[in-house]
Amino acid sequence: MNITPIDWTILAVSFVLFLALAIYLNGLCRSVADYLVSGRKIRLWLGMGAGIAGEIGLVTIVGICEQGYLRGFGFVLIGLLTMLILVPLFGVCGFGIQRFRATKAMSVSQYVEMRYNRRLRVATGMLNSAAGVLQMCIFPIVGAGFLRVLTGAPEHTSVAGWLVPTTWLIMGVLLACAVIFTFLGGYLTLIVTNFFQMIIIMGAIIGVVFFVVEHVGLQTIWSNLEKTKGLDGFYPFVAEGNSYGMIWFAWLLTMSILLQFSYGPYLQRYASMDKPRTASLSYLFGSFFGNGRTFLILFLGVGALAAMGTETHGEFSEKLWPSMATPLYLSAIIPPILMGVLLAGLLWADVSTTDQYLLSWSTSIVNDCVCPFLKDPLSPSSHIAAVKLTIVILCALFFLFGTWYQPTIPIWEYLWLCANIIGGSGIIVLFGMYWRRANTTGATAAVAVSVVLPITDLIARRVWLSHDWQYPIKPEVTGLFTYALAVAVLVFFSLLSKKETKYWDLGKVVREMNKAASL
Amino acid sequence: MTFAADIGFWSPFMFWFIVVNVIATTAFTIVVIVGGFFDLRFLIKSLREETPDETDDGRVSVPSKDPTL
Repeated sequence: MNITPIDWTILAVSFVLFLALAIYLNGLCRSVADYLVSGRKIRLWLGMGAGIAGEIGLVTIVGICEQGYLRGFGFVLIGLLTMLILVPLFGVCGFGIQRFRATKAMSVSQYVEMRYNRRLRVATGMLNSAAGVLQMCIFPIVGAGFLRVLTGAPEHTSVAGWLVPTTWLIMGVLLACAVIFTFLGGYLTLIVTNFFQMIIIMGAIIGVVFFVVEHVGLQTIWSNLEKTKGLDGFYPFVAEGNSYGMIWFAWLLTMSILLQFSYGPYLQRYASMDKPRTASLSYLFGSFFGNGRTFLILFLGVGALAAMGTETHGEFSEKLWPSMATPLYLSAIIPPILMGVLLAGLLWADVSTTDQYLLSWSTSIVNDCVCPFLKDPLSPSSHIAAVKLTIVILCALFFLFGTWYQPTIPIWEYLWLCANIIGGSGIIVLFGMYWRRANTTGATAAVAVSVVLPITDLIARRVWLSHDWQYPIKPEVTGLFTYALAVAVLVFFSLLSKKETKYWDLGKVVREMNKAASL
Repeated sequence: MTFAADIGFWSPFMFWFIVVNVIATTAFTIVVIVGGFFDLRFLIKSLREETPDETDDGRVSVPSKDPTL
């Protein structure tokens, strides 16, 4: 282990401080709305600061470092282009996200019931929760693997005479921290602790990037990237080689738009804002900041490439090496104190994201998959207890998944593939908010297409792979086609069925709420 | 800094773009931290003063033409 006592002290002090803060905030949480959406009282800077921590999980850091190591700065141009399109759309015009906040819904599915019907609410709730939980399953094990290599811990540790993989122990600690902080005050605690965690995470990342630049040298990092990756390392649309490509970009862009109306953690954050305008302003500033943060983390992967080269080192397989090169490199160069800050930053990065996602998906499971079947509504305390019980069950599931998981594709691709399924319900939310004639028949057909096509593609991919054939369709092509077909069937069946719809003018509600808040 | 001539425009562009972004992100972090402390004060104050609404728990009780009514 290359962790000194002072690093452990930094970690322990940060834990005690956050625990004390969480206990204090728990005393202020008095209703289901406080627990699930912070009483809808979050203003711009606090919401954005907390959002930064909530989005930058340990698994994201590992995934971005891996991309930096594999593809250099190729993602930077994609990030810039995405921002140029999405910032005017959501950040300036508030497209969709202001309307969603105006519905006062706590989740996507609650809006689906308001606009369509209860059956569709349950269907989208189950679908989104299943895909979200599947996506989250890799968070603890990937994070634990990164931390084990960073701290230089052995592969196995003896516990009461049994040799246990160290990653399992780290995974247990990460999940226990997530449960503690989610139990204490729910979303209210998360928002506030995430804000403070953001300070540590950003401090650690900025500090480590400057240290890596000083250690390897900016010129060496850059020249090495030019030599090993060529144009691919800077420009993502090269026709050959390992670049991302135009279709991948189009898929990412479409999915990024749809996820704003379907991804539970995003919408729970919008739902907690004090007014619709705050939701779009939070997006505006958050996007600029999010891109800068991604570039900083990419830098760590590129630095590892310059220092470690492209050859696999030590115990790692070829598949695992790109995600482990960065922690192995950092573990060799980071001095005490900075290592303590980095460890605290990574631990809280994991806790803040896992907490936010755990709460979001367990809220969705309880509110959308359980409550609609109950004859009488749950009391506030039973409602919160049901959410907490779901959190514990999910953590147990993640732990079991982690003991079995073996990576087959890059982490980022796995995360995007799961998000692709969730994106489908964004189509019915978007059309529901803007198109008067969208009705339940059309929405049901669109949801069916969004589920059936990706799953068929996944099964076909497995069959092709088992015969050692080259599968002819890329995942991004399937993703784009699914969205296009879902839109087509929604429009077609809505026009065909001519059922009465429960549309209401959200644009008017947005204007009234913003006006009332500014008085 | 020197850049490989065969890569052309993209290498220097990316370098300066990232440098500007890193500086802006660092400065912006400070702004978010300062603003966040003011918002935190507002949040705690309003949570102490407000009466909780027990019906606001995610249920959709009355189907109507205008669910905001």
